[in-house]
Amino acid sequence: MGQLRCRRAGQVLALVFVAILALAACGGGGGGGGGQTDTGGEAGTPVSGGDLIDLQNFAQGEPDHIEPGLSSTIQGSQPGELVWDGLTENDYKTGELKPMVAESWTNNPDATQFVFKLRKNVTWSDGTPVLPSDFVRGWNRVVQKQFASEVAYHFDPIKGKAEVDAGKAKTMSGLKADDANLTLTVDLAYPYSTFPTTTSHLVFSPIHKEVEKLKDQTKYEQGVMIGNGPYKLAEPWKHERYIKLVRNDNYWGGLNNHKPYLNSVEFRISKDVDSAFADFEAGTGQTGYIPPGRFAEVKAKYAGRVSDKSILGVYWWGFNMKDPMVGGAANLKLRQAIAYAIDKQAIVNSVYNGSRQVATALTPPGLPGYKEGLNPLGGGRDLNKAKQLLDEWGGAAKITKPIKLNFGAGAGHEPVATIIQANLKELGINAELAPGDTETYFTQMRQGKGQFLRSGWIWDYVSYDNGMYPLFHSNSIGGDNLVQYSNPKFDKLVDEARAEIDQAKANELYNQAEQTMLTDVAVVPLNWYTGQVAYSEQLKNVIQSPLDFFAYDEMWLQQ
Amino acid sequence: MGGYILRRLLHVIPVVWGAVTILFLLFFIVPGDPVQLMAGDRAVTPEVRANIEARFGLDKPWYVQYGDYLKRLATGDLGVSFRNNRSVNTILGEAAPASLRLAIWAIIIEVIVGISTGLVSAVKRYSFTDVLTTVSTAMLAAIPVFVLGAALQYFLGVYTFQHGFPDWARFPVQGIGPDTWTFFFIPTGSQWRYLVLPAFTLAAVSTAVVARMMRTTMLEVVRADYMRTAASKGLNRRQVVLKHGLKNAMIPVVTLIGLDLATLIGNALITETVYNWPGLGTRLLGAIVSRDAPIVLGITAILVLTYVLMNLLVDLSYSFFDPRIRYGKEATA
Repeated sequence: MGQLRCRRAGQVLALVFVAILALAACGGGGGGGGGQTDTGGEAGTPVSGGDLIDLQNFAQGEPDHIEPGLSSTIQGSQPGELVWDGLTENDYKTGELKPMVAESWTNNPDATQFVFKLRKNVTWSDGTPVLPSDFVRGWNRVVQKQFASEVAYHFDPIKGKAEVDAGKAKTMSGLKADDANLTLTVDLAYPYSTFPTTTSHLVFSPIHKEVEKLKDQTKYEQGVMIGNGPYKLAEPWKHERYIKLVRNDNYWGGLNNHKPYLNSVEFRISKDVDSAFADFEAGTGQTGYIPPGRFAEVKAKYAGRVSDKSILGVYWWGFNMKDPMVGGAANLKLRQAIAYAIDKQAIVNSVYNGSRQVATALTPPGLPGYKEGLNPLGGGRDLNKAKQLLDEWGGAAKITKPIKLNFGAGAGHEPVATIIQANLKELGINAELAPGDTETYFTQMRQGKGQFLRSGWIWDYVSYDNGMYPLFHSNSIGGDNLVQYSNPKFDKLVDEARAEIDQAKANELYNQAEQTMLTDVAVVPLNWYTGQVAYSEQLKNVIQSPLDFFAYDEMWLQQ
Repeated sequence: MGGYILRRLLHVIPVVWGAVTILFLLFFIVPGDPVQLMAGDRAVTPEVRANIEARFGLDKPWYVQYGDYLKRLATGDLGVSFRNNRSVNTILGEAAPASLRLAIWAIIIEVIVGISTGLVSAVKRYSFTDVLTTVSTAMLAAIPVFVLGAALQYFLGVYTFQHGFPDWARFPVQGIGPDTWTFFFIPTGSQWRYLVLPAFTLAAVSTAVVARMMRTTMLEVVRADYMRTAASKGLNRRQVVLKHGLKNAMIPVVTLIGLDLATLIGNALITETVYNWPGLGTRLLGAIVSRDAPIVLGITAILVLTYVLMNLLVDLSYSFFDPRIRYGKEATA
């Protein structure tokens, strides 16, 4: 009897295991339903109608804020980009600055005053006209102390902001609105010729006077906010679930003079990137954010339906210029050697699955003013040159302690640091991984405690200045100038560029400044970010901006 | 009995207070600056930092912050989130029903499926049912929750869609769906389709463990003298097993269900993240990562409270299963 039972048990077990194996085999072989049609997403005439379910924007989680005065992330700002139109806008395809609510502007010779003339036909979604005072209200609102906004720094160039910060004033004295003549005069605290470019940022949006009824301004984004853009909020933000926008029938038409084609856009909020993309693959939504690690596979499977244009973001490792071992003029050759030794392509292939572009300089292509060949080192790998420069500097033996590779732990930088460590070993240089708490990492680096540290930068505006001044000007030490770079020649070039009205001339000055910084090898730029969105066959005319926004008001769904 | 219950309820207060205090102090010891975390990679200027700290009282010494927190807690006010200034009470009010519904269904599945399969397994020892149960519970208990979740999502959501399976065979990959319910936890309309995968995933591990426990204790009970006596008295099989056997076997199982609630809460966090079920789990995770202390403390206080009350219910149920057990004054009588 016992033997019979054991045999039966064995048979059952065998059956179960075979079933599992069969299931697994099935799962591995299939999955070709995505198709490889090559529509490119741009052909055909626009069709009005349809409701878009977006699974890409909030694939990584809910934003903290979505309103212009508080949002500090691209994802959080995406709905706002559709609900509000600002004075200017950067063309999503070319990056060129275009007039938006402002039809034109003038400036004084030393770039300390700009006068914007507003269009006559721009209205809020409730039909009332958009006036210069709406902009003044919106801008002053952000800098109020009790509002405690992290994005108030965008208003630093405006005269009077410093007084508000010090508690001596309630509004910025540099702003003057003339509603009757539809002009807005902005006086700046210092020459800053790219100021009009900065006004394309969401934080510079006009705000409807309904906001004055609120006692606590932070509650504004919990309700239905009135905007002047192509879409409006259908209902309040449904936390952890979705944000729904519907077409604004009172829209003035925008730069391309048409109302948006899609009836509604519903931004679904997910918590896990893989689940969100699985939901896209299951047909729930028309856009999906490609999870890291699946980029190559998805790009092949959804060929022609992946938006992977480069965006204005750069990933770099930089030298603490005040460090005795690696910083300063004396150690230039060591820095050059290290720059030549790092295998950027290997990093892009193995860590980023091909989803990034190898960077040869700091500023990415796609930024007006971008110039090829600014990097005197070329930007590629050359182990022989590296060895030669290292010898000229004094040889690996001159390095007494292993070089610290600083990075924030748990954010995916370990594999990159490991590759860099191996690259340096080929030169005979010992380097050790020095992960820091993500929470305290940047504070430590700001205080100059790093040696060879990792950081990245996403541009706030499509302006050359934004990658130069905050990162490398001596005024920014203690702020975002983590490498403690201080070069009077660089400072002078950037200060001149800021005062130069002619943007082409200004960009040339910025080119020279970047070249100066790259010659000093303050940082080794590793790669530029690219878009990572896949979309369905039905979605047409998908345009990604250099800042990683999408023009939902230009898309349509093939019915 | 009434006095016993009252005393047990009063015990809740020091337990919750203790948990909240420990966590509160941890926030000061563990490095991590909520203000910097809000700003991400960007530098936070001293003015912005001063403004944010003033708004949330973060510039005061820890004992002042602690005192303020306890004072608010006593009135039921859990404070405001550091990230967006929303009332924690509102946030928990949004999130708790979703978590509760998922938890109720997970417990229903756990209790019904776990106990019945364990029972059948024990009574029909070494039969096909028994072997199948033993093998599958071993597997389910071993598979990590997120693997099970991802597998179910793929096979029943993505694969079925991409290979043109009929609508009834396709399950939603994530989300809570229409969020329509009657009597608080009964899904209406298509809601049940969104409930199936998360509920089964969450219940899987606990069900497996309960089934095994049930089987083990039942096997012991089946050998007891009183079972033979009951059978010899002429009662039919079902009466013997259910009325005499099951009740006696239930005490260890009920204890397990009560203790397992902690595992359930932990697994709920993972399940809610994988299935994008907008409950307390997803909020808690986001709050921990950004050092949003008020939300973490608020959710913890509620979870501790729930756990303590559940265990009180478990203890009280012992008197039902074993009439010899009495609490309070009657116990010493």
